[in-house]
Amino acid sequence: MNDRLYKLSRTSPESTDLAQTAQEMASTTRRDFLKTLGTACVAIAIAPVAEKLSVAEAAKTENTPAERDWSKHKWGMAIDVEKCIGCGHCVVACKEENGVPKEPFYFRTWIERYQQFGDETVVDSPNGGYDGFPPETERAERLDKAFFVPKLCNACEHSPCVQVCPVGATFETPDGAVLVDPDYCIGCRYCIQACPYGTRFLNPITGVADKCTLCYHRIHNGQQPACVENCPTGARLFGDLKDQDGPLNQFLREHKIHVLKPHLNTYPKVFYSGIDKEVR
Amino acid sequence: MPPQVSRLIYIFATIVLAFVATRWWLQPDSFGQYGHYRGKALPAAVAHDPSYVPKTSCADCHEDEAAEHAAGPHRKVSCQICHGPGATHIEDPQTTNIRKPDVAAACLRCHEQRAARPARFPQIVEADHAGGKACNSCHTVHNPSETE
Repeated sequence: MNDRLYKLSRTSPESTDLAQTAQEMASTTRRDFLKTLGTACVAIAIAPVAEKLSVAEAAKTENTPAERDWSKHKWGMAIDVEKCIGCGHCVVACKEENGVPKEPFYFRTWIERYQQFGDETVVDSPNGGYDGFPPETERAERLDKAFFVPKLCNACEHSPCVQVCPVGATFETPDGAVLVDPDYCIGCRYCIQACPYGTRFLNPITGVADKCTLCYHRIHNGQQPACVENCPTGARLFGDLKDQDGPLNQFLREHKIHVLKPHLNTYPKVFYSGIDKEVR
Repeated sequence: MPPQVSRLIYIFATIVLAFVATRWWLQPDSFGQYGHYRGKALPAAVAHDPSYVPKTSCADCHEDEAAEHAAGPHRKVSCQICHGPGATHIEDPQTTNIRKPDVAAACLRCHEQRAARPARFPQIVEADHAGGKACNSCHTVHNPSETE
């Protein structure tokens, strides 16, 4: 073994020449290679610059609407469970308004019915409440307590779904809604797993994550979200948390308020009044 | 500078340049405008038209029904709860693009007795209340407190 190494390290004049030539060749090709690479990089860098500049020019000349102030409000919703009659009109309105596929049953908002039999709590939500609710079970005579709880995206201040998105496709807007950018969502479903409230789903038509937007297109045009507008009893109250004298802040002052899963520190902006410990 | 060092510097510079260029190329224009997302997603989210029109729009044409409705207990209940979204109907008023609700189903959806409903909300057991008669054979549909 030592012998062989010795032989290899001993170089004859011819082999030195050969090695030198090889080294020269190698260095030349490397230099050429680097030059080519450099040129290519510059070309790659310049091409999109030119493209982006032309896009920017085009955008300037386009007739763009006036810049909106996205941080003027802080949207939130209050739900008075003691007013909810479980009619399901919010679910229907949400699907009609936002094009949520009717079947298979995906929901941006849905209603759950809690029924308490002694220590046992039964929760059901047939089709999310889309068709209303069937009569209580045959054990109705043993029923201690029952109530409806509408659910939707909790518009968390610290959203787990936003934290896990690998591409920045889901985000909290400056006015507090949590939205999905359908052009950048890659459909990886991380956010669906991360949401502790189960409010997200993968839209089978668009192939991207979908969720309640607080009807962002409606609230920015001076309207209420579809579910709020179509609630016959006023169980849902939508408003601006920055408006200190507004109806939402008034409601929050006048009622005992709970949020769902407060121990997760998600700081929801959907506030519930009158829910029981089974819900939280 | 020894050539092996300068070569390394060139290679490193090339990689950095390539990274910056690729990032520039792949990142959307408005990324980071408001946060770690595409700023243009906000106007895009606002850009589509609502299907449910404002509550007051219906009264512009249907004055009689609106007046009747406003006098009854359902005055705070939107027309579109029973009649469905009205955006297409407003553009092109036809009887085909607005819902004519099945009266019994529409009433019972809210007013049939359910234990989970708040006790103070008016509820009926349909069989006991009217014995299978249609709701609108006694109640006026747009103002159900009136009975015929």
